[in-house]
Amino acid sequence: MTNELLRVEDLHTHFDSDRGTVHAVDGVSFGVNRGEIVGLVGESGSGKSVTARSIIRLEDPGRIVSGRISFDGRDLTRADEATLRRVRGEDISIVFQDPHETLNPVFPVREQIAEAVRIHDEDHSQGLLDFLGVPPFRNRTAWKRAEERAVELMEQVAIPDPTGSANEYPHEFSGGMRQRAMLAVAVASDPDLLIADEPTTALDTTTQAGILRQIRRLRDQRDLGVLLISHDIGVIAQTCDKVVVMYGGRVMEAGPVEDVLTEPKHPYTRALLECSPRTLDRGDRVRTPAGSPPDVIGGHDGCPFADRCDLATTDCRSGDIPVIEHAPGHRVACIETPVQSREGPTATGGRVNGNRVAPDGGDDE
Amino acid sequence: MLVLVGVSVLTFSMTALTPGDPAVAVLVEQTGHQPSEEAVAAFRAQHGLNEPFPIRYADWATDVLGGDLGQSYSSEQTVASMLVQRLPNTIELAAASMVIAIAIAVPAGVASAVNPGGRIDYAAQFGALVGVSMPNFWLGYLLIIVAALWLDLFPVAGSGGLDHLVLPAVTLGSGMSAVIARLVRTTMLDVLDAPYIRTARSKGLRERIVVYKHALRNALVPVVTIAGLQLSYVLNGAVVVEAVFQRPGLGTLLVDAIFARDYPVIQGATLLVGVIFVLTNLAVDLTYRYLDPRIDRRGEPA
Amino acid sequence: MSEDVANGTSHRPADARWRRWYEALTTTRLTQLGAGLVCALFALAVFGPIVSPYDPTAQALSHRLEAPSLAHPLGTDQLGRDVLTRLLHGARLSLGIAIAVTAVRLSLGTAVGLVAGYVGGWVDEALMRLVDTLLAFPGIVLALVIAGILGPSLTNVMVALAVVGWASYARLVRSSVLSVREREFVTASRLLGRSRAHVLGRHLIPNVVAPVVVLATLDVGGVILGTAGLSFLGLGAQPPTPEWGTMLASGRNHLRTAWWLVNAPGVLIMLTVFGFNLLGDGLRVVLSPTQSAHIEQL
Repeated sequence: MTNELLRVEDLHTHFDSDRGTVHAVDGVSFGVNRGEIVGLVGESGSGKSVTARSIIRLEDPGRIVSGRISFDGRDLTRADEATLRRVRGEDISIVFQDPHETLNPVFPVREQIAEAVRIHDEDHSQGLLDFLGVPPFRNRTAWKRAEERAVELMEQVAIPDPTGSANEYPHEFSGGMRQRAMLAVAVASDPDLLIADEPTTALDTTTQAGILRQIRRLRDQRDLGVLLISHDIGVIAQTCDKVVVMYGGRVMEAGPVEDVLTEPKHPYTRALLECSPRTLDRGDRVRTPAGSPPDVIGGHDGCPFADRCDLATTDCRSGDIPVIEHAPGHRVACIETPVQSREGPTATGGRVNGNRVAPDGGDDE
Repeated sequence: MLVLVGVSVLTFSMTALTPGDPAVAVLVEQTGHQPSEEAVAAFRAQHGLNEPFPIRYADWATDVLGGDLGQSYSSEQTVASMLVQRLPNTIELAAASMVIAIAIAVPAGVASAVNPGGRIDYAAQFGALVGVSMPNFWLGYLLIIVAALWLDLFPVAGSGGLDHLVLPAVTLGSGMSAVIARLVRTTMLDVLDAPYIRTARSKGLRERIVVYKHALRNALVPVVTIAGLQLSYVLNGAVVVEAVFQRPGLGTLLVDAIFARDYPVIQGATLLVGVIFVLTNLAVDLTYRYLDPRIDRRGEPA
Repeated sequence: MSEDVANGTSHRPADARWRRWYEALTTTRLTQLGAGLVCALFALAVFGPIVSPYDPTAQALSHRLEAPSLAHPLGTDQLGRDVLTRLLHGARLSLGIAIAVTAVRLSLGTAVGLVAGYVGGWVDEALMRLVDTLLAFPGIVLALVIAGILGPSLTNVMVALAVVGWASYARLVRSSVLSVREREFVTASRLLGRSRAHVLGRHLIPNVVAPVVVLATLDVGGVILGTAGLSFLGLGAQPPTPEWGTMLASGRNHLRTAWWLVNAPGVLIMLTVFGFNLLGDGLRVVLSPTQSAHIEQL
């Protein structure tokens, strides 16, 4: 059992649309180790969610055109459906953003958690009639065990009154509780890697903090590797050990959280930090990086951030951008950024490295 | 409830509003020639046709509530007994047709939805459209020609055992399945796009279980509602199909009564249809509440 | 400019709308097929009887129950009449009836829908109750009773079918009215002092036309089936009128020997209804994508 759980190498995932091929993920590489929380941060449209779905191979209707995803040394990109089904839940689990209906509304919560337990039970058989609950075919003992386990799991994710609320339906749970239930479903089958795709976006800040704490606790208890995806850099700062910054389907910068967030090397990272509400002083206006999200049709020649970057030169707009390793583990995909470390962005904004941040006063989320 | 009253008033008034004297019409049917004055008068007196309309309605209504649906004009029996006699046959047909319809429609709809735009989908949709366009009386004869006359598999007419039920049920059921299949397809397509389906797959569930447990169960809710309301279709169809296969049932009773001007029977039968209709709606309502946990159990009064 | 806002229209409304209809008719292959079938049937109905050399009601007892041949492409019936000719005359009848009945249903239903939607309140409630009941209740049974009581004749069948089937138009029109009523340009229009009638004519009607046309097309098929069905049962056209349903009924005694008597009308009914259904479906896809299919049972 190696320490590196997940390795994504030069992943390219494309979608076909009326206007052309969308290069949603355009050459992404990173890794997640056991017991480590890695954050994947970027604006909407940067390709973070597609990356997540590609990892568990639920990228449909997109398709992976090149690259490699390996879990624990096993290649997932070329694996067959049966293998992938085993991997899902048992090795890698995913928790989605909770808009409304990530849990099936017609089944009680406990049953959905129990199902996750049952799937990866010893026999792996998944009989259709058994799962449908047709009386002669239902394996009563196995399900009873699974349901008891479900209640335990609900307790572990801090759902109040697990035995009582077990029979309730998803619509009877609050948003935060539903997300905890999803976490329970995800860890029910004892995975090694947990992917959390914007787990807190639809929740208020207090609940957010609770969920993030819960994720950290699960990591501590089970030595999980976690890939935490968010557009909120504050969330990443609070929870993660390492961070990967994405833009236009590519990785702009990656490294240990303290390094990247205190000494960001990539202009985009700096812009993100500038605009995060958390770095502002009271009374400052919230800003967004100048310009608009990149057009992802057809991929990019050169750096996707070039159009919005103050440091951009002609070299930036064509050809491959090399990845420079500034410090051990801290990589940047930029040719114009100065090599020596500088002070972090000042709280009052203004000019940093010649980057002007547009004070348009609006939040584009 | 209101519906029933409405229907009963309607049917009763129809018989009263017919052009010409109902007594004359009935007697003409029965005897084959114009009746004499005295015969008409006697008939009217005997059946209370001289009373003003509201009184006749009230009389009839009270009788009905007491269980007395009147006496048939053309046969010796009471209306109630005739209805009781014929009802089981029709219910049998309705049930069998429903079963066949669902057995065809659900797999077809699911198969279509799982592979939209594929060959099965295209074929199923085309078949459904043909099924809806086909007159059920023709289909009945077609089946008779093929199954009974050429292949000699099933009896042509009458009622009785299971083999008498097959052809009529298939005739009626296939028409219904066309409508239901289309509905299943649409609902399933909708459901398969839902977030919880992706969650189910991410758990490592077999695709078959994802479709038949998670998706279908959600699709069932609107389908059951519509399917229940298909009862109208069944009753419509039963009238014709019974005629084609010469099955004694509510349908043939109604048609015969209409030709014989047997007003009490017409009224009784129509009333019965109305009752069945109301009861089925109630049943569908209850099932719907049971199937979808999101509906507030208290709901609103019918 | 404010005029335009109040009118809720863009610069070339008429052009755009005709364009849409044309596209609707010619895009999908299936719609083309449907349109083609319907046109062919109309042609047959109009010209067929003129072209045919036979009299649909003339009996020729020496030529009874002849199988299809060159002289009689669809054979003869039990009284020696040419089946094809009768079918062509029947086409005239069926199409004519279907259009007439649909027109009445449409008018009645639209009127009720407009009133219910625009007036609202308890009038709306009451009317909608009626509509809902009528929609759910088995239509043929009701039509059967009505036609039966009025007396077996084609006219009575038409009346019965019309009376029983206007409800879906009412519901459709009402929901259109409700959706348009709340839109800004209607309020703007009223603020400018336009009368209710003006608002009705200018805004409501154009929006209602498309889905109603779709419904009507699909409904025609239903009426044809209903007429044929009731005639089959003996309540509609009486012999010797060459209505398709009646023809099928009279052929039922000769299933073994003269199977064409039953199948010819059957196929024709099916093709006709199928054509209208295809056409209606195709129109629906283009003209009113939010409307759910409403293939009525009657």
